Amino acid sequence: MRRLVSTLAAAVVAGVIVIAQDGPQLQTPGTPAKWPTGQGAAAVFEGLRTTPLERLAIDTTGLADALPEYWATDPVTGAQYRRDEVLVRFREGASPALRARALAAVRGREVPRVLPGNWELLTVEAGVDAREAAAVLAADQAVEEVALNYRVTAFQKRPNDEYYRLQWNFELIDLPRAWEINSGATSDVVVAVIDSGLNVASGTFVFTTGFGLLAFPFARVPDLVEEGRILAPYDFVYRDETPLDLDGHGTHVAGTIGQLTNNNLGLAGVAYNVRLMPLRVLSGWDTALTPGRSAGTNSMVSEAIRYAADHGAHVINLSLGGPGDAPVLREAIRYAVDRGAFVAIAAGNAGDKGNPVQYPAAYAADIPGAMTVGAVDRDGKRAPYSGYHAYVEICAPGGTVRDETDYERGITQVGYNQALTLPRLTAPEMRLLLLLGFRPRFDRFEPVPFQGTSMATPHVAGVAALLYSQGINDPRAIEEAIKRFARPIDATTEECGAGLVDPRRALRGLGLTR
Amino acid sequence: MRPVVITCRAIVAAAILGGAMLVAPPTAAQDVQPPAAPPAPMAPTSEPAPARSGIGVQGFGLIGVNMPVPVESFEAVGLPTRPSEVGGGARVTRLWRGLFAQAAWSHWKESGERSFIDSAGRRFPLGIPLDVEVSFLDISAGWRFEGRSRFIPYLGAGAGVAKYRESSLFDASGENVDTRQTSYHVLGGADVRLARWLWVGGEARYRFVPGILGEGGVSAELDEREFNGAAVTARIAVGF
Repeated sequence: MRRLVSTLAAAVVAGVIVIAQDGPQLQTPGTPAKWPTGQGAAAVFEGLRTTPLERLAIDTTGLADALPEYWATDPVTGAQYRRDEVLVRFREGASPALRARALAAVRGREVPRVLPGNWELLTVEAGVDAREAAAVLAADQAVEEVALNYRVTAFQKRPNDEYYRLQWNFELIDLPRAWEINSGATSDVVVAVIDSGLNVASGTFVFTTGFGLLAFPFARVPDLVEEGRILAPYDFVYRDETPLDLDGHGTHVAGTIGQLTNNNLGLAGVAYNVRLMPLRVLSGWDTALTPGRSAGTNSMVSEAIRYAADHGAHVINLSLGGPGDAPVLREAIRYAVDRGAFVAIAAGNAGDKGNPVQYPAAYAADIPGAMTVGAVDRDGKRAPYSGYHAYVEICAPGGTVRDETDYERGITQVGYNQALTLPRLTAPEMRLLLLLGFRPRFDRFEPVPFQGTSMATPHVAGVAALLYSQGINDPRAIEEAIKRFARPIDATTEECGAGLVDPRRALRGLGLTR
Repeated sequence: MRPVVITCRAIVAAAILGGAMLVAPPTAAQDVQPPAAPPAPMAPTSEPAPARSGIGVQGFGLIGVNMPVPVESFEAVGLPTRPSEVGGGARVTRLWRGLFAQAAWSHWKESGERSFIDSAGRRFPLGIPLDVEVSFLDISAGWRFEGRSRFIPYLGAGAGVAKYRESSLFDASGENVDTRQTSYHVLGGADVRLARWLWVGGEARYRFVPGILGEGGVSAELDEREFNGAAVTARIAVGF
């Protein structure tokens, strides 16, 4: 009650409160629906929601070794070496006294291990740099050879992103080995994400709402939106070029496709070098802010598909759909494919709720170059919610989550701080919360585990982008390649079509005999 | 067989050497002998060479061009459809009249790139280097039509082993191919004797290699299942 009172008081003082009404709020002609004010917010990328390392039983062996204080960098080669260890081999016949003197000269602490070939692993005291110690030892008459204890890593291309360990979905489809062949596509490949938007700008944005003017902080999505990465963004709801995400769904989907990778930050994306074209057609908190504003309609989606094709998208991701048949969507998809864009479409999440036919998913089977994507769980089995019909053509990881902290089985990707955006609220709940003074923030981010065919679809869109940059530059051929090299799984063709998407096999293609 | 060949070669070599010694004038005595009679005019090269008898042995090197039948598959992965081959071998002639036997090894290695072929037959090169290496060991027998001419045509047939290796960048364990297959061939060619020990010749060969192709890769997509093909080689041989 105290919070409500204080909120109401603040609103009155600010003079912006308008009595909440049902029905549409007509916008005064010439007045923008949303506009930025000041630079305001800076993105904050927060940690995991719980303490997942213990809960997830992730193998932490080696994490201690990775602590930076153990390693130093050789200024000549750039190689990392143990700061406190030197490999030394004494001359044959070097007396114990000479050895002891050599070790003392470098403040050698102990010889914890003698290796084959008479190499000894010498530990030096804290404060002594192994490189300097090696130089001193090399000049010692008793020493035959000396070397730093350099660090080696596996040559397999696993990203170093902070939370990559949560992305079991990439391991399930053998993506690290696919990246050995194709490192995240190239920037000349454009992927359009027709969804709930993506924060392409930072700042406080003021919205004309049913509650008057409300301001919310937004920040560019860290590790995803960077200068030069975004092409022709558009908000089909507000009809402007800042498709701010008021939900988080579009951000998550875009992250799976193009999250920046191998930068020691955040998470990884399938095709992390592509440029993104965020096109907003789905609503979020604006469902409550401007209830009369149309969002998520077939007409809007079809318009966005054509826009994407006309603005150079090579791949279009549609993690959306509904039970309403819409020829306008089918024609838009055909239009896009004819202009060279591959279209990935979610199969729908009602597999365990009567499994109704979903659109535009149902169109894809008849359109070469468009694919409907079902979801599998961490075990590679069809996720219970994943729609199953003859039009499902391929599967990808969609995850299954018990709650918002289920990093173990969900598809984890960058998203909004869930405590500050409260996803999955109904419009009346949102309106009530707004009335009570709650203000969602769209500038705080954290790893978020989601589930759904919405999450599976961007895997396929990302793989299509990889294939495009590898040389398969026709949407029909991309579909054939994805199907041809899919991994068979324990599922019917209605559940998963050709099987589980396998980017490595698809990228590798065919030799003469294998 | 081998001891016989060596013995024959030794006998023939000794005979030739002995004959040469008998015919050749002693060089040390030239300045004290009366001027020698003018040498007999050289025999025209077109004059038939004397027919030879006894078992002959030749070692040869060869260079040539392969012409595999599965051209579409080769083109699909960017391999040249006329790979060059090198090789060598040995031949035993006059085993009985014109009967000869030979063993020949030839080898070619070419590079292309892995590809994808869609249902419309369009090829999409993927930029992943692909190496194909093929070796043939052919054992043949045939008939040389030896007469008094320096030009000796021959025909033959035989069997052998085709060894096929395929590898590409990013191969994981078990993904490259290293296999052998029995092959069969027919051949024909001709030798021309340039000097007593030196021969040149040309040979055309057609191999039947069932298998190797068609189990996977573009050859399966294109339904090219046999690795048959012709080879035309030039050879240089030493022997008698």
